[in-house]
Amino acid sequence: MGLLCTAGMLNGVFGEGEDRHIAHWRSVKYTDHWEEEEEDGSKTLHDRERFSHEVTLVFTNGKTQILTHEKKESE
Amino acid sequence: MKNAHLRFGWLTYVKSTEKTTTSIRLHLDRFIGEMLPDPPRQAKAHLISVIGGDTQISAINAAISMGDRFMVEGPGVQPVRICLEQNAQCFKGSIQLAGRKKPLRHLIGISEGLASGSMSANSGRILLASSDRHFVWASIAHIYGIPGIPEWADWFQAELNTHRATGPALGVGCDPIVIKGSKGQFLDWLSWGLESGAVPFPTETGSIRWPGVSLKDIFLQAE
Repeated sequence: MGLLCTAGMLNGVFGEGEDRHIAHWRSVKYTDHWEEEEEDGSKTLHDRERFSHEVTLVFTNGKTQILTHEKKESE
Repeated sequence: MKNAHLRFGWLTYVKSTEKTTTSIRLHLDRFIGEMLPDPPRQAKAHLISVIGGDTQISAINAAISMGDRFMVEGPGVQPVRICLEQNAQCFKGSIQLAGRKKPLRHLIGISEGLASGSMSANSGRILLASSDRHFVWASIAHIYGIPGIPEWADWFQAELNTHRATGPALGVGCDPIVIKGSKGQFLDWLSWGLESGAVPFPTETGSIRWPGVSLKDIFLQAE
């Protein structure tokens, strides 16, 4: 299902009434960066890359929404 | 079809050492670049495609690897000094022509930014190889993940003009364009468009099929 979504196979128009919307999926790369300071004063830099899904919705009334694994964002 | 000298541009490379001066001039069939704001007149090259002999192409390949500069001119492009800068990628091939014993060599050089896609959604600007409105809208929708349908291409073109969100780019054999903006901005335009009724919401439920785009559509065909 995830592959179908991010491949754009499930992009389309869905719902009825106020819930009617267009959905667009994509795969997004996230990079987590953090630093660790060792006892000897040296610093270790960490970069972790991961991919996640993101779906953007636009409703008939103009409302937009971006849904990710992290949090909901209303605009 | 126009003769090659009317369609193609020229790429000139001059390398001077203490004892010798090497000068190479090759046919340039495709070029994409961006003018740099600071004088003297120079541009950042993103794509060059040249045709020539084996020795000439090898020399250009080496020059690209060393980050050397070239002069480029062509139909609609005044002479300008260009550079692909560091970590450019090169791809070489052969073109066998009827009546010639030796094949022509073909070299494509791509800047690091274009090859790695760093001129992408995160940078707030995107370089596209074609300014066709259908291609621009489809590319922006795909790269930024903007929900939409192909029929909104005219509306998006008008929004780009209204917000002056396009920038010029140099092109030989193609018509590139720079699009400036973020996903948030584009969604704001879309939101306002739907709210005001400027953008008609599709009446049919179901999947959205974007028309396919090939390189032949993007790069101008010889006329």
